[in-house]
Amino acid sequence: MAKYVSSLLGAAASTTANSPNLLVEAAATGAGSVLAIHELSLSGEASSSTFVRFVLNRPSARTVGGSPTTQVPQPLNPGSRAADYTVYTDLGSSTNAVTAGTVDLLVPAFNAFGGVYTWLAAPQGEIIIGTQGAGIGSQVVVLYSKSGTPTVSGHFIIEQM
Amino acid sequence: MRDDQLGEVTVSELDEGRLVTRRFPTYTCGHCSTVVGMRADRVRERSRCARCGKLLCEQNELCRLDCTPLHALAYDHAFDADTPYARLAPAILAGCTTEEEARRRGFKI
Repeated sequence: MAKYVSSLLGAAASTTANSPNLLVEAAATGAGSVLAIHELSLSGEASSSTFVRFVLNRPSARTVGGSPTTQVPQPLNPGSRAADYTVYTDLGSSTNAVTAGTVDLLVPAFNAFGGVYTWLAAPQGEIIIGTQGAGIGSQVVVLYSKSGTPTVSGHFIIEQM
Repeated sequence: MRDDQLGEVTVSELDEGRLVTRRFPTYTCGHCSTVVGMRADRVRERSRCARCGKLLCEQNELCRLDCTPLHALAYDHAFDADTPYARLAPAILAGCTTEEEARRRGFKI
């Protein structure tokens, strides 16, 4: 199925799950309700040695209210239809609430002074998101820093299954 | 698990002015999608599901409770299907990690 890229461009790493650097939300039902993350890459832009430990987390609760900033996922194939899921780069308002889950799905940790971290999934080793709505829980993953606030850039490649 | 079924993490960092690149293999838990880095010096055998044969993480209690073939369910859009294999999928995808937590949050497991 179609793949899309979402990017992080020179953003200061956020250390609160409630205001993550990136939040990917699958659609509640139908197209876009099941997603697979194929690749994640982060590059540090710090001007001196600065350790950063990001986590990709499946929250145990989340509410998106207020006026969050969304980012339109860009299709890798220009012929693909627009993505049916939503990416938030800034939840902004205090009415937004993300409660991080106990287990982190991926822990990208590196020195942001010129460091680059890349994770590539094996076939059938992608990170799955989505619960197809029906009130059975959250359908999001969040990327935020658990340690360090340097400036970073990066991207996700996500397949809409 | 064959080598071509492993994921990979690449970390490039500056070390005393030189760019040093390290690569290590990863696998993704077949039941909850947690990515696990594989240490070369580990001697203890990794957990594997007896039903689907996938390697499992050692962090999530729900992964050991029953077989939840997450990728197969994703391809079929069958997280809410009425099958024993999808029984734990809603709780796992909602971030639950223990049976108690899943029950407390209202999931039927």
